[in-house]
Amino acid sequence: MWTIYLHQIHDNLRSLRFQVSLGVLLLFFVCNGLVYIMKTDRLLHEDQVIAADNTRRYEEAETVSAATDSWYSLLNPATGTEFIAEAGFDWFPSSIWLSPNSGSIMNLGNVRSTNNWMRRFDVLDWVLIVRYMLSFLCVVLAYNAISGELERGTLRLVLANPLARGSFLAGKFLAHLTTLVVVVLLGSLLSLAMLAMSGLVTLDGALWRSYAFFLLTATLFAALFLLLSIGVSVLARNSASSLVFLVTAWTLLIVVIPQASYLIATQRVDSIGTTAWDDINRVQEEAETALQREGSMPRDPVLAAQDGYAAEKRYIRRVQKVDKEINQMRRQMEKQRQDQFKTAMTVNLLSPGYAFQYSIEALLGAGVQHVEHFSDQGWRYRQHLQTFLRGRDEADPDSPHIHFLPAFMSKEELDPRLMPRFQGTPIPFETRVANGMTPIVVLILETMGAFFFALWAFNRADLAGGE
Amino acid sequence: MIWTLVHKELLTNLLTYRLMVALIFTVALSALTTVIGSMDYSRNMEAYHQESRDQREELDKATVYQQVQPRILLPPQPLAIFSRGVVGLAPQSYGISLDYYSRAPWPAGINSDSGYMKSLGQIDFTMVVTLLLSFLAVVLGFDGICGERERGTLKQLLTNPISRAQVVLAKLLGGIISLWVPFTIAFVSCLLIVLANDDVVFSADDWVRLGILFLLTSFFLAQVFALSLMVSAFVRDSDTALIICLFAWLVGGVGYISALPSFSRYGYEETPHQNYMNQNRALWDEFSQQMNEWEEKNPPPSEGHFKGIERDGYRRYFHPAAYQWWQQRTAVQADKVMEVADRSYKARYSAWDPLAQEAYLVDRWSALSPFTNYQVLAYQLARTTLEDLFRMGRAGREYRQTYIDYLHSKKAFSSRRWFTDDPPDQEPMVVDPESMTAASLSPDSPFMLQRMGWAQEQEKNVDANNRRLDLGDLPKFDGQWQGPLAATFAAMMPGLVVLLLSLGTGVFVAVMRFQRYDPQ
Repeated sequence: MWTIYLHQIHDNLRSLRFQVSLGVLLLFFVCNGLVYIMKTDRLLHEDQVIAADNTRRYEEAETVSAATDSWYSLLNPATGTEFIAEAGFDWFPSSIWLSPNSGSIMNLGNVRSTNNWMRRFDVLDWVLIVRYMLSFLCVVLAYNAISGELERGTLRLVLANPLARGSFLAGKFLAHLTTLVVVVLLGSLLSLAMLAMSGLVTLDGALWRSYAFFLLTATLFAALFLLLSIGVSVLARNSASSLVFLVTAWTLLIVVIPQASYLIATQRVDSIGTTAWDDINRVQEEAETALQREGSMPRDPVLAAQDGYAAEKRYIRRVQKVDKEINQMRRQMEKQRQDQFKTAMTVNLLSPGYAFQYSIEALLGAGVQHVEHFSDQGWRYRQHLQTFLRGRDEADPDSPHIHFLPAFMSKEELDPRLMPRFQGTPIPFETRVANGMTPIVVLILETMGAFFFALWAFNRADLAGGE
Repeated sequence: MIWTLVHKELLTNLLTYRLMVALIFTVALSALTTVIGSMDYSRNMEAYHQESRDQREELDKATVYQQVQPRILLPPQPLAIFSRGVVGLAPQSYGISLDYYSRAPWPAGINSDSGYMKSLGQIDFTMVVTLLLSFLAVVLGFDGICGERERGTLKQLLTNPISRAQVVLAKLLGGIISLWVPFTIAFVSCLLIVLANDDVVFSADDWVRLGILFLLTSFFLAQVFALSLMVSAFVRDSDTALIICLFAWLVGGVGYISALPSFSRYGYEETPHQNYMNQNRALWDEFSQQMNEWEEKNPPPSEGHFKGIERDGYRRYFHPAAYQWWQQRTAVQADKVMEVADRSYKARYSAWDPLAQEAYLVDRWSALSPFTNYQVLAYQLARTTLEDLFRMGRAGREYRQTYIDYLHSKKAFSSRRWFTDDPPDQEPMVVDPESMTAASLSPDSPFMLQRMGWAQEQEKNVDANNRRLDLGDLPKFDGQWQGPLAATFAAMMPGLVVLLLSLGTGVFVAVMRFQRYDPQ
């Protein structure tokens, strides 16, 4: 088997297709390096501009009351591994606007620049290169692994040797796998080196861990397509039909399934329309009408002090209830959007390309989990900010202590530096592993499927060439 | 004689197993994408009707001019099922208001995708052609000449009494006709699927465009085939030819379309969106400062005049003196708002123009690869490019002007009907504000509680029907939002020239190379 293996590696290295594959993959990894140098650079600059705006918001809040009235914008930090898997970075909500003011709605949006007019294009991350290019190279390298030898008549010579057929195929398979993985290794290291040299990526333990995982998953993915290609090549009588069959299968698995997931998801889970906001407005309006009727609207502070803010206390009790309700509705709205997308993700898992991609996204803590984690943190941050403001307000004996109704809170000066700032943290490693379990298991199952297919094809086929 | 050769080519191509596999896959995939597209079209058409109904109801309900905010709704275009492009299948909506206008419409209502869904690609017939049929063209063409040499049939072929140029032309014709078979079957089945959907109505113009799409695709397949044949005339053995063709297909088809947009996106100077937001905030801050200055010069009447009910854009039961003051304020405000809208639009465009340029750059450079060139041409044909989106926006901006002129003609900005539908003799919530004390105006004072109860009671009895605005003379939107065929041709010209030139070059070079090709 090792003779076959070494022989095949030798053949590969000399063959035109291997050399072109190497060139193409390296070219794309270099493009990836260049693009992400430009992109990371722009992102750093942009995040600074956004941070400056956010600092202004904190600094303009001079009193506890003003700080309660103000709006803050939180930014979801990039994972720093966008060049490996971007995972919808340009499209997913990346910022939260919130105010500690009772009755205000926490809102998810996107403050970073996106180009909506270019949504039909993919991004050039490592995952794309592996998903499209590597899988295709597997097909190109192995489509005539067996049928080619059969056509040239060399297969009979090989099989004439005292050698098990299994080890013949295994040797071929491993040789192809090794060559491809080495090419991916070279390309990704090249891109990594470019990014590291421009100082945009730090090569720490976490990155190498992600890198190792990337390489491992990419190997699994390459194995899947190689097994499929070898299997088809065993079954096909001639190389041309094997190629046509494989490329159409490739198109189906890599291009069509992912693109069909959109429609399935939109059919299965309703999109959120504008009416969802109508519901929120109605809740707010109903509360206001009731409060007006009761006469529980906030009054002139001097007047209100006379009866110990009785009306304002009634008002805030009601508003806090409304606050809870509308923010719950808003979160539900976002959850439905995420569910719709997750449906599409489940469909996409049928495609090994996406099983591969989602495993990596999960481990890098990117994608939809990144947003969920961020919005949970945003939610906690609002409570944190409220706790802080409550504390400051209670320290002031002159304040009416109506939390969180800005006009009825402390007018005492507040040092903006003391206000808690939002610090986005990455998803804990254990959670990432847990999130990645499903896609990686699917990928392993799919690879096993390809393995059994190759095995079946091999047992069934008459390798001796129809005699 | 040449027809005999074409006949032979056809037989060898059509009767192969590989063509059958490709045929089945192509037809199945294009049928699948068309079914998906057709279902998506129906879903979007339904959303369009729903939105139109909502829009009409909203306008019908309007009792004050402030509530009149018409939206232009554009239905999905049936040809977008074949080529989605930038516009896609979602109905487009362009909101008309005083304080904001934009260059392009946005996908309407329920079908404006969430950020998550935007990250998913969507397939169309054009994509199937670009990937699968072009691949078939490669497979049929790559060994056209070198394959015959390997099998030794080339020498035999050349013994026929025909020129070498004719051999190449025969191969070309044979190949193109063989490609036509799966393509036509796929195209016709897609067309039948679309026609089976009752929601789809093709106009005469659409039929012409479909015809051109058919021709365009035929030329594209011919181009890919000719280029593959050219490769096979350059190399000696078919393995090498295949590798060259496959990689050209991979890089030109899949790779280029992923790399080019990334480079155009990040290689282009672009300012952060936050900058525009800051500018916009400054503009509106300036506006509120101006209004504050105005209020200082024209102080409002005392607090007691401003007791009433305010919601959904209308005000009721306020004191006539308050209405009068608001009336003056609105007249000043409306002009200023429109001015800020103009300045905000300019700021947005200095920020967003680079985004459009990035997208245009991709379209321009797409001509370099036959695959992307074909895609862009198909989008232009289906009127789904960015330029078409901007054309819709232009029509929207024109209509906004019509709408503002209409409001002017109704003197809406200087009338109290802008914000209230109270009849002139409406009893206000506070009849004699001058005599009220601050304590009695407090929301929990017995007087105010009683008056608020009265007003909410009145609200229930208001006959909104009588108060409706008569908008019968509001001009309907009839803008030219779809480009005419001539404009489409003008846009397609560069791409078409590239297509025909490279087809010509492919044929010419193949013929020239073959003159000196050694059949041994």
